[in-house]
Amino acid sequence: MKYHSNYTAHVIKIDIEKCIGCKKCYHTCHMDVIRFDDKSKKAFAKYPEECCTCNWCEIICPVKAIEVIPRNPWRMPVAFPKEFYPKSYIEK
Amino acid sequence: MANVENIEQQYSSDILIIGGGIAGLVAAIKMKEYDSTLDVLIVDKATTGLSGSKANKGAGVLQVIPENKDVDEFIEYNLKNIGHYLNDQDLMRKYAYTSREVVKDLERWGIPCMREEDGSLSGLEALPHWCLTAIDLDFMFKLHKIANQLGIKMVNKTQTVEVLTNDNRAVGCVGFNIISGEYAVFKAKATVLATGSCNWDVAHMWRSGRGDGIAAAYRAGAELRNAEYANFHNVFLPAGMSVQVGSQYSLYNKKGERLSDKYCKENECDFDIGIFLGMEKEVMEGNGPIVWEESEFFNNNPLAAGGLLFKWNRPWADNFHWREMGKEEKYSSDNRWKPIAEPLFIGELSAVKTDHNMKTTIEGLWAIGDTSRGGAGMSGAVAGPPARMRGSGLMWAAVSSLLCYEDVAKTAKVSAEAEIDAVQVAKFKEEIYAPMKCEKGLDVRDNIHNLKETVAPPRFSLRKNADRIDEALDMIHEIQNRLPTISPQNDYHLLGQWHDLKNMALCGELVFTAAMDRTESRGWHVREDYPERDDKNWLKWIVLKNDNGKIAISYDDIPMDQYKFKPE
Repeated sequence: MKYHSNYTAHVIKIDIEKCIGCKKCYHTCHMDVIRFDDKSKKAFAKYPEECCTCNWCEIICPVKAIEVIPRNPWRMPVAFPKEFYPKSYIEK
Repeated sequence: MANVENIEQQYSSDILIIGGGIAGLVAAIKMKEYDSTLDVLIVDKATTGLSGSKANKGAGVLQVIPENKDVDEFIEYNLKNIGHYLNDQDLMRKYAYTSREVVKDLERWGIPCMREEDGSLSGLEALPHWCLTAIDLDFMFKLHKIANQLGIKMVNKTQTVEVLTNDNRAVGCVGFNIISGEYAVFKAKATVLATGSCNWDVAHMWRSGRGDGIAAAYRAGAELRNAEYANFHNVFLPAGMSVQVGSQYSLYNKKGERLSDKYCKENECDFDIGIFLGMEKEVMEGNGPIVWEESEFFNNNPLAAGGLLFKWNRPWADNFHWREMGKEEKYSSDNRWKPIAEPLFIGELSAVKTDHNMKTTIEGLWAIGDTSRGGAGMSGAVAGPPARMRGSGLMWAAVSSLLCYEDVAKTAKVSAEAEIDAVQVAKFKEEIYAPMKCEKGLDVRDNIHNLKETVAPPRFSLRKNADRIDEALDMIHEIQNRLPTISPQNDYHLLGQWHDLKNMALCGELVFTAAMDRTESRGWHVREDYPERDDKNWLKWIVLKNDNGKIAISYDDIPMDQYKFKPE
């Protein structure tokens, strides 16, 4: 079995100085990336691995406190693995 | 942790809708408008109406077959070019007529459909049989507001896992709160699955489609249909992740040959599987990589996709798309300037079998939207959505909601209070939390990745043969066998991922099982070992059903005698 843990997740930067705790990003995230800390009353990115870079949290934030930074290429299965496509897809 | 799991939240309603996307919300609103005394509850893994999933995926584009288009021509074009006679022609007719009702409903709810200056719905000249209009991407917020005003209840951040049954009748569902971990039990007289399709977590914008409702329906005993069609692809640039819809006429191999000249017809309405098989063939023959010629994007491209998205005044959509493209430029890896194109697996298993009221084969259970598009017979020989008709994903979600609401509401009205089986509730609870006992073990995300490597690559998903289907099934069974050793690490979010993995593995198993059985090639089902279309033996639908943990295969004949259009 192969392991893939050494990849980088997308980064969701939330400026907690700007965050007003309105929870809009928490509700808008359909991948459960963003959670809300009840103590500090601020949002934080708990599961960036699940981010699908739809940017909807960034769009919806009323104080522009969020920036989604995609890390591409994303963790995808290789379409043409070298072991099955020996002759090509190796750039000259 | 154990204490939390002892807390049980119980909900009761006349109608339970699982999934708060466009299908779930439109259905809920229609039911409540039809009979305001009905108690309607929507449960969603994220937040009903506020989560941006579908709005993004569908880009707000809507297919409509308006009054000035000929419905017969629309059906005939689809049968010949897209569905290859595997469609339910009566349902397609209903879809076409109901799409007009959807436009009226949306506009009544304050969601304008984009029109030309003369007031007609927008369309594209190269796609003469239907209109391609659009709504702005705030439409879900508007639907959410109306649902709130109508008193529709919503339970959020709750992942449903199993459908509850009693005496072969659906009586609700169970799941857990992904934040607190609390067990949630939903009791209802009528249950509607609106949980979307299965996309196996591959393509970024389609990541939320985990097939949870399809897997739950199957485990509960509902029949599935057309499961072999779950391999839709787009063309994408891996260096930057952008999807190039309609790019099949601007792809070149290393020798400078245009792929569409060899592998697809002119003016296809959307991606033909030939172009993806061609991409793979060229790479196999040493003519890769395949390069996308941006300057030719709009040549011979019926969709003219970029232009389509920006032709209207849609502030939310513009913000969304410009932002995405801006990030593409800013953050893509260094080789973005080399426009190397690859097939991008989208998937789209939508196989829950339904009748024309979207009722499944289980009493008290309906399935709408992407959950049942293929299973209802709407897509034909291609995965849906979009089933090679852009804009038909959002439209089908709304149409199927309109097709179901009256039947659901009437059933809920006359049914006695649902009775849930306490033994089943306890058994599901045990099963749902069982993975938490594995405190240290394999990583769930790694195993999801292993599953993607089985389902997505072209040699398994596009170009099939018996050996490779066997290989894929073996790999899926290996993942299923090691499920007990995969740990959610005492985290309810990861418990959700664990159940997603289980569901997606089951969906993969169902897809390859059906694909093995269909010993012909038709539309997007291509078998190297059976390369011809076989109308004599295969004008029938493959039906899958859970038979005590084994997949039982049977067939529904397509009632071709009753249909207007027959294969030549």
